[in-house]
Amino acid sequence: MNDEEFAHSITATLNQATRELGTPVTSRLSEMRRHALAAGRDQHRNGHGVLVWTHDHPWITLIMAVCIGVAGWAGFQRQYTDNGEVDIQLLTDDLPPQAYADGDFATWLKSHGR
Amino acid sequence: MAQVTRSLIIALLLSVASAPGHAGGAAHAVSFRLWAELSPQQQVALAPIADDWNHMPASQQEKLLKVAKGYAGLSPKQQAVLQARLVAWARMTPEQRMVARENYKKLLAMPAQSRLRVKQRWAEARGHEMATPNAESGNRTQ
Repeated sequence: MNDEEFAHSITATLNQATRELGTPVTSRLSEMRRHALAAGRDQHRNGHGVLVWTHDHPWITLIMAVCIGVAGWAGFQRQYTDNGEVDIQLLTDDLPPQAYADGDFATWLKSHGR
Repeated sequence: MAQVTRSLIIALLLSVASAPGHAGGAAHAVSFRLWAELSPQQQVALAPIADDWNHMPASQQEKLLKVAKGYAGLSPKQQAVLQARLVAWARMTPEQRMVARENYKKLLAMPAQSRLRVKQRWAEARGHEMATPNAESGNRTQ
């Protein structure tokens, strides 16, 4: 008997044995397979930490998103309302506003401001 | 859950869109105010430009009202300097005021010591007279 014939013989024996398994055994094997697949899925999900966390904690994620949005909005508003404060500082500065309205100031500042 | 989340997001967007002081372009409506409609405090702060006020666009009025709001917190010397500069400031073009603000912000971004040196050198270069109004009350530009 060569190797190929030996392998065929083993396969045939295993197949025969599988066909002879009773229903309780096949049910248990099927159940074990489902468990194994489910465990594999969990392990796969755990590989994407942040996404899994956000999926598992939707409310906290939503609250965090709202907080970030509100903070961004507040920053935008603060920047917008800066004009009043800047104007007051400009109007009470050591130099008159005309000194800063000079279009050459920015260029001059680059070369002389260091 | 998804429906609740969607509803919350829509509610949030609506509340933001309708918030007072919303600065989103055309949605930020500023109303024109007659001089007679200003409060006594606002009229005191903006007195030098009383004659020009009713001819100003609403957007300029709005910025000046912010200046008037901060006027009370200034020292008497700063108030005097501010009022002395108001007319020239109000008569600049919007572009000139914008350039002045941007240049001033660049200056504010510098360290205080460099800032003073730059001001002195710029004043010398362009013949501007240096005043020291900010030195009196802790220098608001710090």
